[in-house]
Amino acid sequence: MEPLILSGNVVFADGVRPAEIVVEGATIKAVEERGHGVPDTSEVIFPGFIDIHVHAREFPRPPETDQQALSGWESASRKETFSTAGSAAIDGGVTLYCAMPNDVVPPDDEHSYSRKIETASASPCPAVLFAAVTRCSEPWADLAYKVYLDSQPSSVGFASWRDLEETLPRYRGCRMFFHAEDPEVLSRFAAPGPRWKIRPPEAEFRAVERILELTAKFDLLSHVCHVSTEKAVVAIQAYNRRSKMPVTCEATPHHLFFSVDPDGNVSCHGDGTVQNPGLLECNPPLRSEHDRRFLLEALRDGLVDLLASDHAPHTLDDKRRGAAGMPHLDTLGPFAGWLMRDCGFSPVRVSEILSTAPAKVMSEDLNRRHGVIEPGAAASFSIMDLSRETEVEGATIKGRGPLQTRCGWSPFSGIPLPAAVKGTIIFGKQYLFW
Amino acid sequence: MSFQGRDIISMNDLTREEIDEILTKVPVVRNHSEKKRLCKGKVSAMLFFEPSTRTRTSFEVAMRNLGGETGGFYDVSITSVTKQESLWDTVKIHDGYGFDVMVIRHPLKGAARLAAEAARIPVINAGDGPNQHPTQTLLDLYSIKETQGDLNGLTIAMVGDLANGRTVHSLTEALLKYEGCRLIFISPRDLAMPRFLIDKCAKAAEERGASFVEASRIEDFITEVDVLYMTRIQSERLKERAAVEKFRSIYRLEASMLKDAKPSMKVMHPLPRVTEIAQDVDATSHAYYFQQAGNGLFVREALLALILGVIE
Repeated sequence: MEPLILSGNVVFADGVRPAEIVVEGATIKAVEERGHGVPDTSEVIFPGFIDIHVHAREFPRPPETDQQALSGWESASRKETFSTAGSAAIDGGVTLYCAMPNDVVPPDDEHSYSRKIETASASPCPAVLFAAVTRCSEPWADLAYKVYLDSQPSSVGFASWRDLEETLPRYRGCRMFFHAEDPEVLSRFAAPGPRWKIRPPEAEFRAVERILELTAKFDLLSHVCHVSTEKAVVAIQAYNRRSKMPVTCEATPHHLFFSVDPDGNVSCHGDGTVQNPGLLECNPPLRSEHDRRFLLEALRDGLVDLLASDHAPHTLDDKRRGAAGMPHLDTLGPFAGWLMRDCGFSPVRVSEILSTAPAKVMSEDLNRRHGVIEPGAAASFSIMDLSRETEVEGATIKGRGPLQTRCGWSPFSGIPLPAAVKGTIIFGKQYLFW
Repeated sequence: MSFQGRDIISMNDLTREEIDEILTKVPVVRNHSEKKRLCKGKVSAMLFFEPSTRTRTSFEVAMRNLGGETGGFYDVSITSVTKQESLWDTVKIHDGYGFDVMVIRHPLKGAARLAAEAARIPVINAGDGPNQHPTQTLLDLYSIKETQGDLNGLTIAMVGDLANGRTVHSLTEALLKYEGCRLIFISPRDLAMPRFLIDKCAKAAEERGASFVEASRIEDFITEVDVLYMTRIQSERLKERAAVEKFRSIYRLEASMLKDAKPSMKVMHPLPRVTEIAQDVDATSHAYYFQQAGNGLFVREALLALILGVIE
């Protein structure tokens, strides 16, 4: 077999330099830096993007006898499947994603988890699965375990800190990922209303404080998902200054791009009101413009470790009924283009927040082979063209074709993003878009 | 090796040596000359959050045979649990009543582990939903050892719904702890052994000379097996309803199919059976499922005696 050779502007850990990458099978065989002989191009080769926060929605089909679970499965699979999420990931330049476990039948033990692995094998883009922590579950392997906190009852949510404190001793030393909104604060705001009102910043801050306490108490390797406020980030930083094991955190594209003012007007990076704010309802909700700007700087300067999309597809019908979350996979690479062109992120920083740090936070296994371009690493790359725009119009990307996410819409509809994914290469397998 | 005060939650918590030790004690307790007085003054709490007749009865009779008593509840609807008392609190309260051991059955997986954390007294898991039922596995192992003399080097076929059967999963994991066992998994494709257990078999094959094969017909293996472990096929688990009748007939064991079997071969089943074992099998020397169920009593007697520390 002919070895695959890529040449172009390559993002290394210490800078972008022209180089030639020789791929053999699924692995990088050699990397040769070249001062010349590389075409002058606006294309940049990144180590493969990894999105560690994806709701792929699909889970193993429950038996006919369990009508309730079956109807949950049907409704979830209308939003997304592993097949559609995987295609959306590839189109967005993502080479590996991590699927969240908040299913109607959650993967919280070896049996249910291994069944879900079989379901996930339908994804054309590799998917690593989170395991759910539930009231009675226990760890069985070195996996990423997800804890949900919410006042609303669900198959995975902890509605009280007491329940969580009784559960966590079993997870001593494990990798724990937290949805940080204090259920006891949320329950005080149960009235109907937009989420930015009834899920206040205080809920996130209180939850982060408690999580930091529990992290120290039970020696957890903690990661806080989708931080959205300055206070939460500052609390994590203060903790990390005095702790040996740092707590990591992530920010989402929507908290970096959209904000809401005290009158409830939602705006797009600080100017221009968004027409359909209902589509942007999410948990945790959009925050103030001050928090948005802080978060952007914190992600750029390293206080926030990584970018994770919280790709949470819902059908437009479900959105009209108030479902929380929005899809991101199809546009994740172009969004990184916005960070580079408009927000002062260097390509090296983008490779850190979308590849190096995600691999490190998820597992030893990923960390060994992903996140850098060097001989021996996985031959997974995201190739971005920084001279082309990506614009979503309705359910399609202009000049490219339909969105791959099954829900068929994007929060960036009508807002051009200043980069395009030229190709996604996954373990040596090429998906080139022009 | 002492079991006094120990929780029995999952087979995964027990080493092969510990399993052997428990099985060795079964006849000791069963034939103990002072059996009626072994647990005099001891009381077992029975916390049954879901109905179960055989497991519950055999634990009760086991405790009575040892001279002990039982208390607790078998019907959640008459307890504070219906007032939304948490499992943790229910266990804590019973823990404070002066019981010596707690037997718990709960529809939620992991509930027994939670109970063991809440209780100071030892807890025996009598089934937590689809998860673990260690006394069932111990009685299966005891039945195999009793009829075959050893747990090493046996050929054991498991037949039926291997995808969803808790008993066959737990039994498979336990048998993999022994040397050179050959496992034959016979099921429709839709109901095959889960991948993670096949992976464990492959690992054991490398490490301990085990071997395994996945197949679809009982007849092909009947001459070589030492134990034929049958399970129920639940029609609702199959993707196509039309297939149910077909599978029912393929995975139905009849006396005529056993004519080439080894004389020592035994047919086992966790019961209740539906149609997978014809009644004419009952009269053959291979039928062992009723004795197997009876062994449950002796295994539970031994376990209670060990945990309560009344035998060494």
